[in-house]
Amino acid sequence: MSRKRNKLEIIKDILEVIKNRNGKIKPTHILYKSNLSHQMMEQYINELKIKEMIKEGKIGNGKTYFITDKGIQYLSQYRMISSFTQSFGLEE
Amino acid sequence: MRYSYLIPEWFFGFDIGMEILFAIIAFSVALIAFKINDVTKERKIKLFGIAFLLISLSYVVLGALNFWFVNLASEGFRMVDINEVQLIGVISLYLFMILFVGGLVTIAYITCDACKGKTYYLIFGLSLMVIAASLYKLVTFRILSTFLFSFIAYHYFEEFLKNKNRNAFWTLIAFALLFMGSVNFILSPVYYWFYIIGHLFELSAYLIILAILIRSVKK
Repeated sequence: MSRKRNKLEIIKDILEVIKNRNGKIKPTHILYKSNLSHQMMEQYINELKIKEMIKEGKIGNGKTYFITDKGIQYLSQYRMISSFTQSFGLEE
Repeated sequence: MRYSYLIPEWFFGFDIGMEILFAIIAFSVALIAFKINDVTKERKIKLFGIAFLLISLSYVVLGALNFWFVNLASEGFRMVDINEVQLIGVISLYLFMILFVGGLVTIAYITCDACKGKTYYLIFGLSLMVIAASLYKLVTFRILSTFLFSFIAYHYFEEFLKNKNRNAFWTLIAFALLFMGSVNFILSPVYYWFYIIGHLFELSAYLIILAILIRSVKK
C-alpha cells in the first residue's frame, strides 16, 4: 500500500502534471493524473490560484490551467522545501 | 529585581561567542523558512521562520547583556550583575526573556495542530504573566523554557516515530539537547559549571540544526 501524500507533495504532483503537458492542462486531466477526488482537486486548484502558482484561462471553449513562474519555482525548489519541512516537522 | 551569575574567567568570551553563533544559526533557519514561505505561502513555515527570528534576536540581546554587564567578581571569576539601578540592563533582560519565550511558544504553537490563533495569545500571555508575577524572574523563565523545550522535543519524538526520517531524528536530538541545556541553566546560579555545560549542550544542538539546514539547502 502506498503511503499517504502530504499537502506539499500533492501540490508538487499537480504542478508536475501541468508542466509535463507543456505548461497547460484541462481540469479533467488533472483529475486523472493527480489521483485526487473531485472535491479535493477543486480545493487544491483554488489554493494554487490564490498562491499564484497556476492561472486559469480558456483555450477554445474549455477551462484550462497554466503553470506560472511561481509554480515552476516551486518545482525547482521542491526537494529543498520537502527536506526542510520534513526535518522540522512542518508538513501538513 | 537582582540577577547575577558567575562566569569563570577562562570561559568569558566563549559564552558571548557561542551566543552570537546561536543567533547566526537561528537567523539562517529563519531566513530559509522565509525563503520557502515566499514560494509555498504556508502559514506553518512562516511561523517557524518568525519563531527562529525571535530566538535569534534573543541571543543577540543575551550576548550584549553578558558583554556589557560583566564585572570582575573574585579571583578567576567574572560576574554578570544586573539590578534595578541599571535600567538598560533590566530592559534588555526582559527583552531577552520575551523574545526567547515568544520563539519557543511559537514553535510549540506550530506543533499543536488543533490550536487556533487565540490559543497562541493565551499561551504567550500566560507565559509572560507567570514570569512577570514571579519574584525570581530568571529562574521562572528558565523553568518555563525547559517545559516548552520538553513539549517541543516530545513533539519531534512523535514526528520521528511517524516518519522514521534521519533528519527528523537529528531534529529530535537537537531539541532534546536544548532541553538539557535549559535544565543546566536553571541550576547555573547554584554552581557555575552548569552555566558552561548548558552552553555546550546548546552548542551541540545548534551545530546539529546547522547541519540539518545545510543538508536541506544542498538538495
